[in-house]
Amino acid sequence: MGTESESERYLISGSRETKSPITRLVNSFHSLPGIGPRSAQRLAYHILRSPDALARELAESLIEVKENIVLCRDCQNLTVDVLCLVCMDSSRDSTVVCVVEEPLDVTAIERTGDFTGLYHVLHGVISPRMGIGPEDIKIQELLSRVHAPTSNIAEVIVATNPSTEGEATAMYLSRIIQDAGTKVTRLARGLSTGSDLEYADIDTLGRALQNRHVM
Amino acid sequence: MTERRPRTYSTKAIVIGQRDYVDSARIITILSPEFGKREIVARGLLKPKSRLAGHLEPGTYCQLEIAVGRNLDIIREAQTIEMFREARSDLQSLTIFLYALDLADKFSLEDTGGELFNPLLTVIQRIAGGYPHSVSIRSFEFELLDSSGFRPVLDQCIHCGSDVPAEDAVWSPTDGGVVLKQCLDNVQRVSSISSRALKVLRAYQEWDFDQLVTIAVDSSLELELSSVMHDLMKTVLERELKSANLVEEVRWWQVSNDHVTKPN
Repeated sequence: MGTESESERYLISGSRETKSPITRLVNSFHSLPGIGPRSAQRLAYHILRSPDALARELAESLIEVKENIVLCRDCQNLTVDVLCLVCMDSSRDSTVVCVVEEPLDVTAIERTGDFTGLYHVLHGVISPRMGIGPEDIKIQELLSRVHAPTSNIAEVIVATNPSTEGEATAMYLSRIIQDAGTKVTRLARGLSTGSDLEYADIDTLGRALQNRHVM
Repeated sequence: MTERRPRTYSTKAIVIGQRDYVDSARIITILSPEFGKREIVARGLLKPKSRLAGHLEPGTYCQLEIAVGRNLDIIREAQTIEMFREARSDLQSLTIFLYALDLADKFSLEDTGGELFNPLLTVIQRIAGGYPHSVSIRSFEFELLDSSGFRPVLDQCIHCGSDVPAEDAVWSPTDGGVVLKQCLDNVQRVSSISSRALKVLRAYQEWDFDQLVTIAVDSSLELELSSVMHDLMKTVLERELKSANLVEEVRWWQVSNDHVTKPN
């Protein structure tokens, strides 16, 4: 529809009708990561054309997430209670804590079924160029946990991503945690399943050679 | 007939950073001698089998094949020339390495800054090559200040123009140099600087790198030099530099092991 297209352009510019509900909805979608202006318009008009129930459910879910989801007191993962399900599970090994960057990393490690310890979510990584220093992520919370008088943590596994910032964060954590006498380990690095040696970078191949094991 | 713009181009570049983009793609910031600082899309970078990921880590010197895009150009191939693994091998080297990349980023605008490529490559090679970090990074800072027109005045008073003996100098990062004690009322923000530190800074500004590595700099002097220069860089850039703060924090850990008192 030609008129709709003009209307869309008119609404996204917001020059004449900035308080229009559609403009606000388009701009709200546009403010989300990975959503460009065209996608924002499509989503907004999809909502308009959809049944009322869908819009209501979406709105209620957004409000519920913002109002009810909190950070776990211990591991800083997302939860609806004071403690998350992993921290509440008494069968987990509380002597080992795996430190990850984001809540989704917990899900990824849980999917392996190979880890039975607890987690700590940093909610980021030290990235000075992006203005993120150690004080901006949940490092202090991790230290408090390790240093707590009741703590029985014997090993901290640093599972930050194998990127430059992830390595910097891992080294930083290693330095401050080892001062407390706790063992710090790092996830192994090497070639991923199905990869090709020909295309492997120097660092990955070098580390795969360093970490080779007897068969 | 107008000449058609080529659809691909190749360049050598240093990756100075990455940030999230759509799905598994990331936006890579590179510094190239021909094109300066440029943001380019690397598709599928976050996928485990990505053939680009290992070649596009911050600080990697690489050969790139780039396709011209409508908005952002797209990386088609990347091959590491040098990864500088030694610069990433310990926390102190890595923080200085990240600080150098951060400075190169902040001192260049989009599609400019090609002249910073060689100084950046040199400082990274020096950090990875085991040269004293302090000398390497201070030389780089002075090169950045010179090339951007913020060369600090270290010999004459920035207010009256008289020669300043190192013992009578006060440091003013906002005015970009030293000031005589009798001219203090005419400058904005001042801080103390030891005569030793000022003499070393003068040498950093004038001497060749080969001569600079012969200067003996102890831990407390190194901390003072680092603090003075970081303050100057933040003032020039008019922003907080988390990378500088991290360098100082990590350096302080090192020095505190040697039982040196932290300067106020």
